Amino acid sequence: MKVFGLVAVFVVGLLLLSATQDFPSWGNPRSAASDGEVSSFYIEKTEAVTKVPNMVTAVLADFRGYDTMFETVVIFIAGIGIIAVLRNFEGSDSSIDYDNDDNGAGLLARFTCSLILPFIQIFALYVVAHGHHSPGGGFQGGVMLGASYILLALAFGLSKAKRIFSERRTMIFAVVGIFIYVGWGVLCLLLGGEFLNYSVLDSILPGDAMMARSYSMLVVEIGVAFTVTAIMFSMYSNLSTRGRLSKGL
Amino acid sequence: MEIALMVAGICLFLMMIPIMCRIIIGPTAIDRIVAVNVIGTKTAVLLIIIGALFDNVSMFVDFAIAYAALNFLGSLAASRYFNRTRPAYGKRSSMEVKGS
Amino acid sequence: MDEILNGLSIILIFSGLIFFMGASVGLMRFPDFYTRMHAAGKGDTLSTILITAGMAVQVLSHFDVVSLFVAIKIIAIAVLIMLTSPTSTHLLMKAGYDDGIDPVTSSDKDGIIDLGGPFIKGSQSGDSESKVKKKIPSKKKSAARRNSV
Repeated sequence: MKVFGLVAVFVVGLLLLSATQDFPSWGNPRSAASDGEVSSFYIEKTEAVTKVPNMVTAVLADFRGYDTMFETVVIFIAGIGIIAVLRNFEGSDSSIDYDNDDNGAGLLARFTCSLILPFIQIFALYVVAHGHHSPGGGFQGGVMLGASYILLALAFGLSKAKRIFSERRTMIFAVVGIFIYVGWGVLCLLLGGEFLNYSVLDSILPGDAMMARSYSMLVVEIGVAFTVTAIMFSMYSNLSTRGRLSKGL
Repeated sequence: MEIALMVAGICLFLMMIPIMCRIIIGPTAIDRIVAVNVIGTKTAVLLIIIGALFDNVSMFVDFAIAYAALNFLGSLAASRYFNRTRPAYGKRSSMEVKGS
Repeated sequence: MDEILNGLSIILIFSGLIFFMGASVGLMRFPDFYTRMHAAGKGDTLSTILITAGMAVQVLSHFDVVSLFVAIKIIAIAVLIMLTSPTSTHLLMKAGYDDGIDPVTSSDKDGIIDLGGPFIKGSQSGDSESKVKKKIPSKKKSAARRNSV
């Protein structure tokens, strides 16, 4: 069976390698991906229209904001699905023994985590907030923020992390993230523009219409970060304890 | 300077190859995790060198911080998993008879 | 000034590479889990710190505000790895010890397991048996340790 798997991996790998010959060459300006009307619009106009130097963030959060909204919803649905499949409510109320639960990974790990956790969280917030200018954004920053809570749960025990970021609070955070995103789009609708057309928001935001788009991207990314953080931690706590949410990994 | 950085990056990559062999042949699971941990920290360093080669260290250093931080998370999770949940060493049962 | 800083950074980077070569060769060739851990933990941490310090010096060699902040970030990586890498080595070592991975000792000749390294079984002489009585972690002990930690 192992041999069969190895042969299958090699055959598929060779197929993929042979398919790479049909790719346009590296940096070819006339390739299909960079020659289209849409790509050249993004490349030429992004900074002028939105005042955001990072093109990827602008495309993700502004030009294709509708897409990203449903990506966030997909992440939320994934978290809900994991809870629906794994969560085991039986005995979870009485059997939580906060004193006799696992108390983390030892003194050294706890000390190191208490030193580096603030650093990781500040860096995650920087990734969320600075996604316009450097690589980053809501998804990446949310994953790092969620990973910091996972680190807390690993080092100090899941019960301590649950006291900070309980299940109820997790779900509220996840819903609030989507609410921020959709609510920002509805706000555009109320001010007379299209759904998620940020440029009409310049009447309530400082600056002109382009700066309004830049600020709106920040708001939208914060919404995405809320959802991703909450869902990351919820997935970890459900998967590592088989849905009991106590005495985990 | 660029040549020195290029040589350093290539040397770093070449020295990762024995560690990858250790990932493949490592007799216990924790051997493999240690090797993955070493490659993880070295990948953070390699990212900085690649950034210097592309003249864009300010962008690549963010990746490197994220990688270094998440690498610790991985090894901590692995150590807790093998500490509490399952033994890492398959041959232990036969050895224990001999040892005790 | 530029040449001095560049030379300093090259010296730091290549000394880090030498230490990493030690870690790499040690991880490949040491006979058992604990010695490999030793090579990985020490060599990896020191080489990472040296190479990141070299890169910070190299970034600072043309000095302005942006490169100062980038150098601070690179130093932050060095500090992060200096904190986390020994901790993770310690944790993995403890996990392995609690799981009962036996070290290669010279006393119990029959107990030598071939852990994949180039350790030769036949090279032990028989009369070294009385010298060291290596304590083998029994299952009861490791369970007690697990509860106490």
